[in-house]
Amino acid sequence: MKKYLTIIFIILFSGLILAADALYLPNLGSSARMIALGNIDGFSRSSNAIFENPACLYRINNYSASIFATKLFDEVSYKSLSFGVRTDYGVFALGYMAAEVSGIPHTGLAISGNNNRSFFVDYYFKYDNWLAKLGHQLTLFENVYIGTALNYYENSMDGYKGRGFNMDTGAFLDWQPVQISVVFKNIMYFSDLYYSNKDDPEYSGVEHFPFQTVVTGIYNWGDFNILAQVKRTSDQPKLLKSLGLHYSPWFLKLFNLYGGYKEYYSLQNISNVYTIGVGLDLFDVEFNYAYEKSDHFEFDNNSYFSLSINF
Amino acid sequence: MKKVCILIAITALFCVSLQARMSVQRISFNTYINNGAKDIDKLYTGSKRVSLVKNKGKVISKRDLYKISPAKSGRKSSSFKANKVAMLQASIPSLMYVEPSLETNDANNNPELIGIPLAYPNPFSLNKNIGRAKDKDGNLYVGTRIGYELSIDMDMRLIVYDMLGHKVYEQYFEAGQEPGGAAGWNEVPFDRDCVGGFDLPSGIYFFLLIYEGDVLGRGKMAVIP
Repeated sequence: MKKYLTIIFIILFSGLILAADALYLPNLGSSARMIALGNIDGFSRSSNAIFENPACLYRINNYSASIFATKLFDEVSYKSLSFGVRTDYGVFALGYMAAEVSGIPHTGLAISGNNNRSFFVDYYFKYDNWLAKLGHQLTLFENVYIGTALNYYENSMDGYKGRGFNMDTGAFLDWQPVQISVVFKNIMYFSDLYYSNKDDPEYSGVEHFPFQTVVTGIYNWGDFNILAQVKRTSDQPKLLKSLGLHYSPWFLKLFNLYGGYKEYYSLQNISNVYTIGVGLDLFDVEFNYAYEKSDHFEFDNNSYFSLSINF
Repeated sequence: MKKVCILIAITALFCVSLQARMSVQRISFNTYINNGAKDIDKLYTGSKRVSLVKNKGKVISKRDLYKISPAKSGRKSSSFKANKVAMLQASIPSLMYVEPSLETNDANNNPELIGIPLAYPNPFSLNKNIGRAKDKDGNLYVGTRIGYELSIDMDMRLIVYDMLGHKVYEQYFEAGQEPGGAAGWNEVPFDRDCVGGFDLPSGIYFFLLIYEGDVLGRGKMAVIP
């Protein structure tokens, strides 16, 4: 019996011991609004909630569509699209998020007569990383919502391809003036991202999906919303904290001001950055802009725009 | 008569002072570029980080100055285009008295990166050897090597960013340090030790090679599990 338990334990956790955690695209943010609020999950009013907490899809009345695109330091193109619809069986949503980099050199080694070495470019290849989500939200009790999302991941570069799937689940409690969002991302710890190479049948690689626990508290105080979040990721030893402030003046409800503070890992240490943003709610259409400082040497700041339509 | 004498004396004094001023600035072009580039920065901007020379709305970087310096010995002909001097003189008034030098022996003193920096192998893994990559001693290695050629010994800073623009590695190499800051070919290892013994998520990483605030080269590398 003990032997079987050991074998089961090894099978279940072997990947956990050997593999690294994969890049999780939604860490960038799913909208300018979210980024402006310090990457706080659970405050989205549109279909892009599927990338944060699927329980927050409850805010969709009929239909919702959201688009977000940006290019970081002129190299990495990010885009996300999402769509949600309310039905008699709850809210359903679809989401797509992708990152793309082109012009990556595949290199070779040249050695001349005197053992002089140099590298050369064979050809250039492209990197594609995308994630598709199918989400569903239900109302459990009055003001208590739950949601789940199935995730499919695909990652490809130069003949190497990784594929895998996982799942998120979350809950949202709306007890005004206090709201609480709890979400667990990539909960299927036994499901990994498996890599192969069509040109090299002997190659195999595996990465874990980072398991994330995110808890957010929101307090409504007049025209202000005060947000606080803690995030724990399986590959990082410490909690990451975020704070956000949202102000929408009573005399101009269509105008929104955002401020945020977030922590992130850099060089294995926790760094932080302040964010600001503005938003405009024109009836069913929501425009948002976010700004944050960057620690990139050449590009000191990042700007983000997003658009959402709720009808 | 007295007035004429005073006028002649003032004119002579002016000519002498002007000549003295010209002789101070009459240095060779190479010397000015190689040793005086910092003076240009200080003179015009005082900016150490960007090292720019601003004039007439045009922005001229130190690298631009190097580009129009005499060709390196053994690489190109030693001819120095007069129109380039004129262009430089037109854009930087303080170089009005600079004389171009046709010497080529000291041209290699320009601190620059020769060719484009590349990582080999690319893509690479932090856990396994890819493509039987070997170092110069013939040993197989895991990870990659960032290779670049420097014209002279120079201080170099290497920074690696992930796809979100977050730093994952930063290393400073002193002039003459091997590998990293030595003249000639350098192969700087990038492996698990560089990132604290952890694995990096697969994806694209970007590196910059920086000398005195100027980005001399940049590249991309792909990590696979």
